[in-house]
Amino acid sequence: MDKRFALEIESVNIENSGHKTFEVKNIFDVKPGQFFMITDYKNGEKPFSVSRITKERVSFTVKKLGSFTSGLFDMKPGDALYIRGPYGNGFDCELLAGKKLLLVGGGCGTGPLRSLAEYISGKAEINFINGARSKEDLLFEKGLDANLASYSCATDDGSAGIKGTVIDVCKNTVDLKSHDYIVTSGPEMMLCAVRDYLKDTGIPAFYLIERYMKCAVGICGQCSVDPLGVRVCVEGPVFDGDLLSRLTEFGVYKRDASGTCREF
Amino acid sequence: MEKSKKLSVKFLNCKSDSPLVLPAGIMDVSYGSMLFAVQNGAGFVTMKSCTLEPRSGHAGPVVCEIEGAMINAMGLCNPGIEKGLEEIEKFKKESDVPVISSVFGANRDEFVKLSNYVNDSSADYIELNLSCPNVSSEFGTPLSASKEMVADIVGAVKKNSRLPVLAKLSPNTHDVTGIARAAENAGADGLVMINTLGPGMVIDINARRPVISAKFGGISGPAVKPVAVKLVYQVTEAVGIPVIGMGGVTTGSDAIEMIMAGASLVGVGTAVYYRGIEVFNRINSEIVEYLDKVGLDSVTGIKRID
Repeated sequence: MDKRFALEIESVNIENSGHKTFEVKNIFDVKPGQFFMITDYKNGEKPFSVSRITKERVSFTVKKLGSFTSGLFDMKPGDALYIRGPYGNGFDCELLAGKKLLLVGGGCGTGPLRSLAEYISGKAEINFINGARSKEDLLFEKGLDANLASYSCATDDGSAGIKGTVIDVCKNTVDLKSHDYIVTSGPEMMLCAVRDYLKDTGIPAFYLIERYMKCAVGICGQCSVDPLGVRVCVEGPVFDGDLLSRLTEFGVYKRDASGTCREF
Repeated sequence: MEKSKKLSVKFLNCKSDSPLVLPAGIMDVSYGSMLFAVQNGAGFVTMKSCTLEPRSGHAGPVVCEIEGAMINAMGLCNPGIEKGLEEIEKFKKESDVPVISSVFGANRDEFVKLSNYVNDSSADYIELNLSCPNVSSEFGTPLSASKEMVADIVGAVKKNSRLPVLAKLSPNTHDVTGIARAAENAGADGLVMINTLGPGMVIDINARRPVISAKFGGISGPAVKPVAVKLVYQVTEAVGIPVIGMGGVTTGSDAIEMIMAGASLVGVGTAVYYRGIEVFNRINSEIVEYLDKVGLDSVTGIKRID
């Protein structure tokens, strides 16, 4: 019942100037695409997707954004992390096993895709596209412990991979239609671009989406997405393309802490 | 899901196909979330208590699960009455399920202002949240601790209201029956009870900190049900206006128990956590099973016990 834990940070890995990865002991039954709520009892409580799952450890890759993540960035191995979870549906790894997959990640959204790639490594043909603003922002350039059929990246300024977006990489992927599933995670505008690009291809896709979260256990309604009201913390954060196409809110607005709609 | 005719009810001015109510504070920030509850079997919905201005609420953690219960202190987060009513309008375009518009004011004047907004909307009832236990550091003791305050606010709202007025009462006072009578005498059309119990406190012994950022939080879930049943029973003995009974209702038998205590409708909130959003349909079916077993052809045939 009480899913609240105090876990020592086992290691802190500096990914780049804006991202760090924190590892704690894996005492959970957790799968890729799920998330935990982490609090410092000072600056609130925020949701974090797992970016790596091994038998021994669970990792969270965190982008430094506000007071909460700044506080987290000051934490060292041995410090306690107060966490509850895991929450959310996560990726359907049974469905994805044995399939040809294209994983498309952007920014911090690449985290859950790394955990997926590593989790089903050897059980699926995995092609990985990684996008970021620049080489300096690109995550896991050397940190993917998975058997990939291909890996490519795109940066806005061309400092790594091709100069452009993950969509440009998709366009250059000659056999795009040979993939059984596309799985994508990243900024909502990137997810929209992926959705629009896939529109006429008929390739099924899964999208990991984010909303402001409070209770994370499905009662407060804060992360419900209009007009269906599905909760990112329970029915999500992973939605299939069919469901996503019925979420008229997606790509248009999201609700802030008061529930007020804020357009993208 | 097609509901059994046996579940049809009338509450004051509105009919619905289930006696189950989505109470304030659960899955009700947006029109989409309220529609989701209806799709899963709720017969009435309540929009999150709105204040005049938007509120972001307390920082997290705002909830804590404990054995048999949940503690929460959201801090009355809401988009403000004007945006809140827009959600109700959007909801009404998609559904004819009756809507309770809940409002929270710091004093009588605010309650009157808020109620005027609601009267100009397509909501079906006004709920006066006189009992939020989680903002006392800001607003002082919940208003429903005082008979005079309750009478004053209900009376003032009732004077101008086209819509039925429901008073949401706190269990956290020694004279709930007296408060209920005061609300009835001031003109309340119905009561909603109970708001969360306590508030209570949970300490994280590793962090040596209260788990809830507001330190204290209202208690809901199965553990509070006996308190709710007892108070609904006592209040329905003392007043003639109908009561929406809530507090820990998780199963069909809980709902029937609440009706036997005197409730006309039954709120289902924290049970969404225990049994999923499908909980409304599940409880509906469980009520019908009971009706079949005892040979009743309507949920309204379940009478309050003596």
